[in-house]
Amino acid sequence: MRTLFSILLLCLVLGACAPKTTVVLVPDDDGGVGRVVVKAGGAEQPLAAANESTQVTDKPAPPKVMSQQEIDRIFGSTVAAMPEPPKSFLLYFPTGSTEPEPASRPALDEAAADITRRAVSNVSVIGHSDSAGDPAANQKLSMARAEAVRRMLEARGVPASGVALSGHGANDPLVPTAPGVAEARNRRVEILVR
Amino acid sequence: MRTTRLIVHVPLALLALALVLCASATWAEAPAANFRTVSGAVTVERAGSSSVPVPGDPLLVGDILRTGPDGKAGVSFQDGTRIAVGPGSELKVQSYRFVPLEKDYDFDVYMQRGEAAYSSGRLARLAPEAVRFRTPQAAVGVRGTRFLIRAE
Repeated sequence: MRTLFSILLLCLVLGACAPKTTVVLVPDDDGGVGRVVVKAGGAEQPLAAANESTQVTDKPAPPKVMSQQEIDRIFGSTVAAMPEPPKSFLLYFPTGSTEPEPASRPALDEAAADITRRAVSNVSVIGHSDSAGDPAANQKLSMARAEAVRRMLEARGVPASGVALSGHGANDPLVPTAPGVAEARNRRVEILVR
Repeated sequence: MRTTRLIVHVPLALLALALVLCASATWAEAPAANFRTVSGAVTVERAGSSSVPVPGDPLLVGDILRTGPDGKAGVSFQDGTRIAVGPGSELKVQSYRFVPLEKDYDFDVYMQRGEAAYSSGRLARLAPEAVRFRTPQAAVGVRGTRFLIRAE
C-alpha cells in the first residue's frame, strides 16, 4: 500500500503518468511556417510560430518554443521516415490539340527523370481543357491529352501500367474563366508524382 | 402499363448497378495512401487480419498502422499529404476523401499513441476545415503546414 502511494506521489511530482499530447509546429520544406489549432476540453490554442508547442492533458497549455535539440530528441527518428515531397509538372497545349507545346518538352523530360529516380512512386496524369467549346468534347479532349502524355512518358521509360489517368474537362481550371473562353493556361496536363 | 413500367425500370436498375460497380472499382483503384518508407516492426491491420507492409503498398480508410519499439513508416496520401509514424505508435485512418471535381474533401486520422510528423498536401490547401488529426487528448486543426505530435 505504501509502495503504491509512493508511486502515485512520484507520478504526481514528475507529472509523467497522466496521458498527454504534445504538438509542435515546425517549418515546411520551403522554410515557411503554417498554422495549427489545438483543440481540447472546449479550449483552442493556435500555434503560429516556428517550433511553438503546446502540451495537453485536459486543456492545451500556454504555448512554448521547443528547442531544436528537444525536437530532435523526441521526433528525430520519426521525421527521418517522412516520404520525400510530391512534385507536379505542367504541360501546355494548343487549342484542340493533344500535342504539347514545344516549350513543354523539358517538363516532360524532367517528370520522366523524377519518376525513374524515385524507388517507389505513384504517378497521376490529369488532363484539362479550357472552357471554349462543348463540355462533352472538352471532357474527351482532356482525357485524350492525358493519354497522349502517358504514351510520351512510356517512351521515356515510365511503364504505362503504373500511371493513373484522369480527364477533368474544363471543370478544374488553373485560371477560372467565364464559359466559352480560350485560356492557354487551362489547356494543360498535370503530371503529379508522389 | 405494368409491362411498360418494367421495361423502363429494368435499364434504370441496371444503370444504377453499373454506377455502384463503377464507383467501387474506382475506389479500389485509389487507396487513401501508399507506403513510401518502412523500417523495423510495422504492421497494418485490415478487416481483422494483420500484414507487414512494403514500400508501395496501400493504406486504406479503416486501416490501423502499428509500429514496434524499433519501427517507423512514412505514407503519402493521394493529394500529397505525408505522414511519418515513429516507434511505438498506433494510428488509424478514420476517413479520407479527395475528390476535387465534386469539392468533396475529408481527412481524419486518429493516433492512439506514439509520435508522428504531418506535412500538408493539396487537401489542406483546398479545404483546411476538412482536416483533423486526433489523439485521445486533443484534436489538431490544420491550416496548411507541418507539425509534430506525440501522444503518451
